[in-house]
Amino acid sequence: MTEMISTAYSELTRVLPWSLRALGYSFPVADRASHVVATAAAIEPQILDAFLDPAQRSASAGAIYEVGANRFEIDASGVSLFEIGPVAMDFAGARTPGAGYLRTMIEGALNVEVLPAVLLIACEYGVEALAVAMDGTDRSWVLASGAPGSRRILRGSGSLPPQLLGMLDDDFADDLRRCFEPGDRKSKCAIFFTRRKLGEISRVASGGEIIEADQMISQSFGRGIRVTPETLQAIYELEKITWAPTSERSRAQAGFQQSTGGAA
Amino acid sequence: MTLISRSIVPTHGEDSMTTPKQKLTLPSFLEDRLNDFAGSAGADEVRGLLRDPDELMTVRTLSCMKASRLSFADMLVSRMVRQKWSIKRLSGECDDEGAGRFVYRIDAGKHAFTYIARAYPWDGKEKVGRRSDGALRDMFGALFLGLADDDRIQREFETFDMRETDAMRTDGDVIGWTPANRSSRHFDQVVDALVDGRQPDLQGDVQYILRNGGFQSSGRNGSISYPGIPADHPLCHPFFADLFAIYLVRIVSIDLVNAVAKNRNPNAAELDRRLAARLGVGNSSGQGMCVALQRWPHWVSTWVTQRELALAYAKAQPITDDGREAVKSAILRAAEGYATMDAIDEAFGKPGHLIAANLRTIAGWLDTPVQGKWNEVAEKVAASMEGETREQVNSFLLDLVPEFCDAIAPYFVLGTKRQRVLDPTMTAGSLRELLRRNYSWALRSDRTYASSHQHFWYHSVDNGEQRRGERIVDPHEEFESFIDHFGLIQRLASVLASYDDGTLVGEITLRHPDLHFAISRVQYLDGLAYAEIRDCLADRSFYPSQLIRFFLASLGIRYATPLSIRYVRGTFFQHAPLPEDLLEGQYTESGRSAAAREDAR
Repeated sequence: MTEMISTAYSELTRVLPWSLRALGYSFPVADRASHVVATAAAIEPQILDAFLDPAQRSASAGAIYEVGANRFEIDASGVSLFEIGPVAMDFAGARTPGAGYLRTMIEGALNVEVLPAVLLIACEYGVEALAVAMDGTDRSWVLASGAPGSRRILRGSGSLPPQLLGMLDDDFADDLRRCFEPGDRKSKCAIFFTRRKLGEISRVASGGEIIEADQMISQSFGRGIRVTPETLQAIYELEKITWAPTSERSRAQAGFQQSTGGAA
Repeated sequence: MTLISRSIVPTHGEDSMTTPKQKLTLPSFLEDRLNDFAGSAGADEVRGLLRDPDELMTVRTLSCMKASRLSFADMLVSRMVRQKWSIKRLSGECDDEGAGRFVYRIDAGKHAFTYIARAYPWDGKEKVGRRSDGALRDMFGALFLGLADDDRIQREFETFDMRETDAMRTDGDVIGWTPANRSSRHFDQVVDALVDGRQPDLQGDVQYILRNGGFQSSGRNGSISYPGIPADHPLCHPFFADLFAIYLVRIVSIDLVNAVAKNRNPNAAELDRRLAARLGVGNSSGQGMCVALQRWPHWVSTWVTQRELALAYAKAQPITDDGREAVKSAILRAAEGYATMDAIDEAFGKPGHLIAANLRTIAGWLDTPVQGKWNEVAEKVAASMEGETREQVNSFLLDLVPEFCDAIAPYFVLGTKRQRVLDPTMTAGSLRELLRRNYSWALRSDRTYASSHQHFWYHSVDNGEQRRGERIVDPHEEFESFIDHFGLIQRLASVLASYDDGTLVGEITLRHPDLHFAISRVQYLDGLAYAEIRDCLADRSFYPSQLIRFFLASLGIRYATPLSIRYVRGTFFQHAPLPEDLLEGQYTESGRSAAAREDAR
């Protein structure tokens, strides 16, 4: 069995922007995504292995959006949740205060294992996010709540805690219930946003798992994240794809060069 | 005598500074401290003396900045002296060739931690002292977060002995590793003298024995992330861990030459404390520093804002005889240092002898009693002298207001914690207004000239070190590092032009995920006048060495010498106190240890 090693959160956010760029993402997208992946790994270290699965690699492609009054839909068309997820949270952060509550449906996104980390971004905007992942008849749900510094994840599978439905406005609750009705077989994810403090149910809900997300991130700064040497090496190998041989011109600059008059 | 003459025609008009066209705002912490010290009316006067960011934040001006009491190394040493840190060597063994192991215990306030160093025998290769040296360094050290037991220390030594970059890993017990390299010439010169039973001649260019190889920390090699260092730890401060680690390399270098000499000759001399105090740690920095400045502009803002506020406060003080004597004496001491600097290409900086001559002229102005405020001296200097002299004098003016500098220093921590977070509820109209207010200098830049963004920067195969390539000509542009903030801002402005004023930022990033970086940058830097560098690093005329000098001055290196367009060398901690000085409390604000002062006499 491989001996695990630790990697600090900062090590991931230093190398992952380059690893992700090697996978085809632009600098701004890779930079942001590196924090999403590092946060996801702080919560669940094994996602780093999934991220390296060649079948999961995708470059930015054309996602399709449809925006309505209290909803927006994203056909991700194979774009990663690294990329589409954070901007969906931006949109929710912009629209939720005016709309009261907002719903999105995301289909066809890759890297869905980073969903909890993506939802935590909504908390930075004072918005709580409840996601229901639908895969055939299977249902699982993730709630991200709390303010930065004390964000937590509550997640479970099957039906939602009844206390949660009891806290919601009728429209919101009805929309949510529909996610649990038999429907088409496509894999998709519905996310509901509200400024209500849904996280309070974590005190009374049973059957769900509570993860103190910010505490885990904080621990990952200190104690690090457990990872196999092979996974970490693979991340570094990806980074090296972005390295280039030093050009002769660049080598020449290393020497003591005579001034060429500033603009030459 | 009145110093200022309004009829003076600046001899270097392009170097002189003016106050800003619009009133600058200060972060609330600094505003509060300013009001505490100066009162409401005094604060207005000080704010009026803050310099115009359009002139201050150019590469040219930043490259002139000099180390001061608000540089990180100075603040660290000040803390070490104030808290009487204890640095004790617990064990030290080495052979004739300098292969050895050293273990130290540091007591700093209520905290104790371990530092270990593994020295290797000379392999005949003079190393440059950068990441490209890989694992083949002449020394590796590890700075622990707390006290390490024997087993843990042994494990770390075994890791060093692997000497293979990819295989060497540590864990969260360690703040960072200190790779270092010998100057073989300096090392041999010092050791040979000691073996002969005499003191080495350090009058020439021998300023260090070991060269800094780049502190590997904050997650590198598995070390703890900086945010993971407990808030009450004495090294939980920007750059304190990095610099203290370098300081420890200096102590190892002294212990190492003594130990090697003793091995070769049991009757060898021990390096005199006065000479030891002259030794620092050599350093050569590359253009990766410029990328860091672009990535974290709130660092730049924090450093420059504090320096400028302290400078403005000092300028508002009346000139006293004691102050005049103190500034004059500091200026003359610095003139000695500049006079001995290596020659440099004038494209990269002013020659040391010129700055030395300028400083002596200014010292002459201060020979006789002067009335007025320090601003009048500063204005005369700015109007008469080139930029490096001006900034050197400005650095000394901070010594006139030590209590104020101490009072604002906590902002170094607060300012660095600023987070780049998007406000998705901001409208496109408000964002456009931010661009007009804070980025007119970038929006007016003419990008039609290829020379305006001719260079791209990339990670080279030399262990990922930064290099520059030319667009179109050199390959790998698709993996360029972010340095072109002019391009970033202009693209943002052009996309924004297609949206109505009422569109929300969160709606825009949904359509343009890549703009999150630009928008959040513009938003989080609003109100920080000294954050953005107002020249384009991708421009053909930009020399990385200019901003490297700024970075090194902020860290605390004095008399830095640009070696080329992209490397700047200097020495850390020359004349800083030795561990004995710390315990004896014999260290003064003049920046010299008791032994060095004695030596100077």
